[in-house]
Amino acid sequence: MTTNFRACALALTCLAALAAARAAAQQVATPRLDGSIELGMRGYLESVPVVQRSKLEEYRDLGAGAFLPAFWLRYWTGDGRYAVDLRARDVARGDQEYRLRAFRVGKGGLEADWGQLPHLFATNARMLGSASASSGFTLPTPRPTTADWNAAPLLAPARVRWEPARAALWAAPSSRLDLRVEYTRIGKSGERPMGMAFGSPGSNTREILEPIDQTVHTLRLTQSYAAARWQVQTAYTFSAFRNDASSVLADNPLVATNGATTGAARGRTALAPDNVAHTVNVAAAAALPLRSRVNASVSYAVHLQDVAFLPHTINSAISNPGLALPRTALGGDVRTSVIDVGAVSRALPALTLGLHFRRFDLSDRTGELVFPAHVVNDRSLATTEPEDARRFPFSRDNARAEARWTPVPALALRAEYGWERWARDTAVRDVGVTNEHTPRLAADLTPAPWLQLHASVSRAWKRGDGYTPLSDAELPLLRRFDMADRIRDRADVVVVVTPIEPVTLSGTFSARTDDYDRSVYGLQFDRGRAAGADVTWAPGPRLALSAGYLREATRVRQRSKYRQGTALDNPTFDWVSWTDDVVETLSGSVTATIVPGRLSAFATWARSRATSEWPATNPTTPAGGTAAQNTSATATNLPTLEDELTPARLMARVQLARDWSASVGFDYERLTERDFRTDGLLPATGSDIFLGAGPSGYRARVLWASIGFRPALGRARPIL
Amino acid sequence: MRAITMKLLGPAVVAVAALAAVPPAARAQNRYVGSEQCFDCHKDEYRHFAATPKGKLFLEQPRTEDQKRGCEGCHGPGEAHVQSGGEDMTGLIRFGKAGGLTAAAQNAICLRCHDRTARLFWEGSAHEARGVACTSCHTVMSSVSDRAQLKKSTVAETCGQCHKDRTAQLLRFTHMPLREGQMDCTSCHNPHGSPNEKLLRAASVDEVCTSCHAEKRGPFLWEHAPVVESCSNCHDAHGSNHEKMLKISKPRLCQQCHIETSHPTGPQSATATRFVMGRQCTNCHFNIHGSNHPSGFAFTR
Repeated sequence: MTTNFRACALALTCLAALAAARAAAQQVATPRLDGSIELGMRGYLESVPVVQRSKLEEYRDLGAGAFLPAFWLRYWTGDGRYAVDLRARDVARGDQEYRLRAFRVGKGGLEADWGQLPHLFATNARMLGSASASSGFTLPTPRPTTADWNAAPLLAPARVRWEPARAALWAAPSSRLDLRVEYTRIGKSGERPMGMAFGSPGSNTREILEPIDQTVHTLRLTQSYAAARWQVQTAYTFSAFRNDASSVLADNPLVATNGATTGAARGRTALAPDNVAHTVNVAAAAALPLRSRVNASVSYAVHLQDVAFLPHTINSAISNPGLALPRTALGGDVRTSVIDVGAVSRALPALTLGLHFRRFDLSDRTGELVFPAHVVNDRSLATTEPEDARRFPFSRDNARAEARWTPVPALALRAEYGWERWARDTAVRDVGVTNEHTPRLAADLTPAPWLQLHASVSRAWKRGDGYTPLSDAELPLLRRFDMADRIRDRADVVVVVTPIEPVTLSGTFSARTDDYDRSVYGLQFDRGRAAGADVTWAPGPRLALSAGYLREATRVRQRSKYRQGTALDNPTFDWVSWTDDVVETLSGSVTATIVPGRLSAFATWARSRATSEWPATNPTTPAGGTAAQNTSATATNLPTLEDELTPARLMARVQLARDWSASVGFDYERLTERDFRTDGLLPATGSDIFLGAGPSGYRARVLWASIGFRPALGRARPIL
Repeated sequence: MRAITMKLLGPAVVAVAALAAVPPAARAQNRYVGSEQCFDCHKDEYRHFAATPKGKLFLEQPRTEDQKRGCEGCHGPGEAHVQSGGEDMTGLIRFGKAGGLTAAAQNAICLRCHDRTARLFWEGSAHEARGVACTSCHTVMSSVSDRAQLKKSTVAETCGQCHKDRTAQLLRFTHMPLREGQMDCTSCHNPHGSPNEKLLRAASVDEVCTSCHAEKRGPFLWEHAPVVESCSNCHDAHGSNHEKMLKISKPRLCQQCHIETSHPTGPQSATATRFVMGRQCTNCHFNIHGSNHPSGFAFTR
């Protein structure tokens, strides 16, 4: 109700502003005012229960009642030199957005934006106990029973609200120089589900809500200078992240008393630490003789983080000299540098040559940090092996040479060769250097005005300088996909046909395969095929139709081995699994002008249906281990995941008078989903405690109507 | 100064491209006639253009010689067109497919002014190389979008003219809020060219993502190597049918790399509770993007 009241009040204010502006414009002929406002009402034919709204309103506010979807007002001074532009969207709603611009044409101006972005995570979460910022998630003693948990009350919807705000000032003191200062603040507040492990008894976990109270500040200064044959740009960006919730506390649902080996009464998890980043960038481009151009960009960034560490545990029953912290904070210092150089030449007719080189380097200057002991999930002390806080520096080089030849206007041929090299630290990664070579061919053909063809094909070979597992615990023949040898194939075909003028048909086909040809274990291949077609037809100026279909299918195969206790290399414990995804997307739209200038109608419909199958099998029936091991090593298919989203809109728009229009519409949106991992999940499942939350299907049928006012303010004059 | 710039900027590309379409005879006799002449016949187009910021610049607040020519600043001298009563189009630069000019020739007109800031890396960029014209995405003569004078009402619709697979991904079960209008393709990409992969706005995937998701930027005490190298190792930012925009669902995603001992190595059944139910691996390994807890090396704290 409050939202409706605010929306109505704002709408009336905006209408009054527009009316006043119109009156003023009639009195003062010189300045020009433009503006529009739309005000509407929305109602559900049948209400969608709150517990089903987590996906419906994941990023938007679709509450029933009054709404003000759009407001716009622009004022031009009489000489056309200055303007003020105000736009608003979804006024007074949870996803509202406002934008103000004031500028002098071609000289400079300022901009300010503010908005709200909801991110709804769960509307059907349940939990016992109480929660507060200082004491976290507390439970009574003795701890609740399974029955208590499964009868836990619903929580308020878990959501995080983003509030991005931006202010920018820009100026062009001369036709060569552009300056810009921009400050952005993103505030995030709310809560979202998270898990906390307790490790006792039975390595139990409890799902709670992560408190979100974060702010991201970004200041960006940019300058661009353009001379006749060269340009240079410089930029400095400062970004600071602040988290006012540095940790979260939660009671163990199974243990009420701290013990040195039996578990902790409560646990504490660190949340994201504050950090800052500075980035400097210089970019330049210059025109060279012979229709050539060279450009370059150099960036250097420093990422810092030095938030004080929490103690190893809050379990008072655990103490050990090894738990003394070697430093009070990380002193994290990561530097990234990027050098990029490119050149393009069209010195020869019909031939374009390009060269490009890029080097990205990440160096981690954080000092070495070794922890002689640690505490596992606030439950138990571990002193057998010191833990080294490893850093992961790397560099990545890319080079590309390409030639594009257009022998005749109807044909363009392109040949490209690309190279990528990753260099990692072998002290912390399994592979030091990988090289990938990618030749690529492409053609664009327009044999007739009604036919366009594009085709491209590439094959890439990625090879490393030897895979050496870092850890004894790791399966020796595992090849992690980001470092593994790979053959990558890509092929794309696009056909656009315009058989008769108002009809356009297009078809696409793409195939991609990542074949990890030398990986005995780990990801084996990742293959995808996509095919689609679109048609647009405008039989007349008053009717336009379009339809599209896209089918995407991917298959991922991976191989693993169950390794438990002393049974680390039982050959029958191998298992193979696939992830088979198929996504089909259908869409269609109709736009009709029924009475020119008076009545128009619009309809759109789409359906996206996805299935994900998880078959798994053992090449050989598991045997040779204990009965429990054999059972654990036995692979079975996991249930199929499915979802289907169908949004549709049918609307008509009537021009009531010169300044007034009205729209009526019917929105339909239906989601069905099937996910065994969250559907019907009880809070007490096994020895774990969940929120019992998960996305729910829904069907929303919404009727809405709106009225738009767009007065002809000022004069629509020829400016001569 | 802009005038000098423009004179010096008359690069071979522009001259060759624009003049090649004009017969020598027409060039010889064609002169600028002024925007008033255009208005006489093209009243609606003129009015629409005059209401745009670019119209204000060209028609009311010109700063360069090109801008002072108004309509002819982009379309070229119109004398022959006017004298022929609108029949003779040979002296004019027409945008879009109907004009017969190549995309490069059309773009050269725009780049006489728009060759800096976000367009610094246009030449040699993916879109330039594929022959995308400025007018493929932008319309100068009227206001269709809230900003940037796009051809469609939103950035996503504009990009979706070609990138239909990405448009389809917006309907996926987990997606960025593009469909809801809360961000757009240009939040991450610069379609006008970039020195970075995939036309990204920042030097790496991680830098793009952490510009908003700064809580995942670190550096952390305990780093997760694939996170340090690229968010796209695990996520598909354009949308996915798996939770959290993951490429495939957990636990299979994590099991592609984690074949050490114990629970990560088991195939897991549907009754394997915490390993497959709820949040799967992140039921316990919550801080998978990095942890700053002294005992958080397994990302459980």
